[in-house]
Amino acid sequence: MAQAATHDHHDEHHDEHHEHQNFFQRWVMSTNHKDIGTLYLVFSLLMFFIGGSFAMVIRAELFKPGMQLVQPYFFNEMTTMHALVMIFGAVMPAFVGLGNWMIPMMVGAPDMALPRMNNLSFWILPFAFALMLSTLFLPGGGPAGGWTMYPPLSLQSASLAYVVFAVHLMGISSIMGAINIIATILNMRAPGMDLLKMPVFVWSWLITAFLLIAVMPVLAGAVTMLLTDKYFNTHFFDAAGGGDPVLFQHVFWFFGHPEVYIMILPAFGIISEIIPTFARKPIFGYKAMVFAIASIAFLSFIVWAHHMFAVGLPLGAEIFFMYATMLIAVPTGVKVFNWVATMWGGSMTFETPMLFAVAFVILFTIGGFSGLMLALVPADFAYHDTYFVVAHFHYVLVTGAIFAIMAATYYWIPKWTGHMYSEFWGKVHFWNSVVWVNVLFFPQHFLGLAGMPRRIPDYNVAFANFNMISSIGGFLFGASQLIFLGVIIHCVWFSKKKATDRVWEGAKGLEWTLSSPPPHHSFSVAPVIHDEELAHGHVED
Amino acid sequence: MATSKIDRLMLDHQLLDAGQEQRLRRARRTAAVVGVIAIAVFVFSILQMVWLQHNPPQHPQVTDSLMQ
Repeated sequence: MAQAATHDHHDEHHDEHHEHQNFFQRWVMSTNHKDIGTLYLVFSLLMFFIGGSFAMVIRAELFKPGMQLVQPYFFNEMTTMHALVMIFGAVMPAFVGLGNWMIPMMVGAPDMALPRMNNLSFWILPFAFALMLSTLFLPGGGPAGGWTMYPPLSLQSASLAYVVFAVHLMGISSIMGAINIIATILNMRAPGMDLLKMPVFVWSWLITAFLLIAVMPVLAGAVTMLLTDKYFNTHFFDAAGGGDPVLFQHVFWFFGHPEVYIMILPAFGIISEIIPTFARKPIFGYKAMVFAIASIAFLSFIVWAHHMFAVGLPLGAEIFFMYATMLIAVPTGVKVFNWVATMWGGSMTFETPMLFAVAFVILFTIGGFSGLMLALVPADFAYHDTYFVVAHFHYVLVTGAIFAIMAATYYWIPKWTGHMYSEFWGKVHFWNSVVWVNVLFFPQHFLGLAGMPRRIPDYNVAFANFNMISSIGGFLFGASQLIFLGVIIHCVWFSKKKATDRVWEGAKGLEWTLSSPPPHHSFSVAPVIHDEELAHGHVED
Repeated sequence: MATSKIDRLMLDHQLLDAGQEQRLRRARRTAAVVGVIAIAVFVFSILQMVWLQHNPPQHPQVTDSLMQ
């Protein structure tokens, strides 16, 4: 491609700047989207293992009935910190990292629109998490009232101020990241990259970024009011002072439910990239996929109270939120149908990214179905605060969001590093993950249906067997992730097998026209876009 | 018409072509608008709570009306 040649020449000149950087300048002061993407992904992996170690403590304590290893308060700290670290430290930064790496390359932009803000939004995160994790070592202990921080329980925590400040920092980081993504996608696309020619992953991130802008400030407002209730004598959520603790739940879940979709919409985008590549067919119903993501995002704003059915809402409210929640199954069903239809009749091969993508479609759907069960008000009164809920959201977030992140890593790591990962060990990682994750979470459905409450360190002996099975699954799923770490380390530093530019035979899109690894600076000159190069160059459906 | 280097917008130390530079200027304006919206949402979320704090009788009605 003549344009690509010009662009490479252009980049050679600018890459000289990059070559003269020392380690500190390259990684701490970086304004390059690829380097910042790498920083996000490494940070996310670190948090994944820290949050995972908290989960191991939880499963070890629940291995047998009775108090085994830790004190109840520490157990509560572990459940709270596990959630906060996994949500804000592992899943969200992983998606931001993937977005940073891929969005500019996918839309033909030279970098993110605001590179210095990009640097700042990453470097806030390590400090936020250092602050939050440090509370575990403070005399009063860390937060133990659950990630939802419901008052009045959360107001009893000595570390509330630390956690609130950490949440503020995470929020600022997320908002800056979202601003950058919106500005980049709306303005920095190469000429010819119309909105309806963008990859589904880019669409999913654009919509997610709007969700972040709409709800992260609400969380910041809610936790600020918690802080003033504790330290400045206000009574926003204090019934004795005329406030209302249920109001916090409304405000929190107005953030919290869209947050769930913030953690899954980019995953939908990733799966929509991977399945067409390995089915060697364009995605079925491109426009329907985009509109389904937008519909899910819209509906996420009007379903928040389904988390609160048990607090005593008016009947009309319960019916409204029940039906609105069930409505989400429609666009989600469209997506699952289209992924299956894309595979139907395709020349499918099952490399590791595709294995994770297929597992995502099946297992996320199981999580979706249990979500439908929880949406039913009368049923929710029985399921609420039981292990059924724990099973539901782990199917959505682990076999959903985290499997998608792993699929994305295997899919794009040859492009990032220029080396192929070990397909054998990738498949070993996949099969171990997919088996043990089900051993870990599927029995929790039965525990919940039998009435085992969540967030407790001890339980009735009637629940012993399924808990033991679940813990064994947990330990082995955790151990399986060491294989993932090994595959990444091998691919980055030791793999001898070079990746081609296109990497995957069926891959389409601008990012695959760049070399593997791509030059430090790409698309300083806007690429000439040939529709046949794009996955969705001729959109007719 | 030559543009002096000092006036040129750069992204990660790379000079851009004129088209990219124009898109970057637009992007910065978009970012400013979105940033203002984020701040407005934050301020609004607190102000409505402050309003409720100073209007206790409305508190239960507002909570319920969210639901009806």
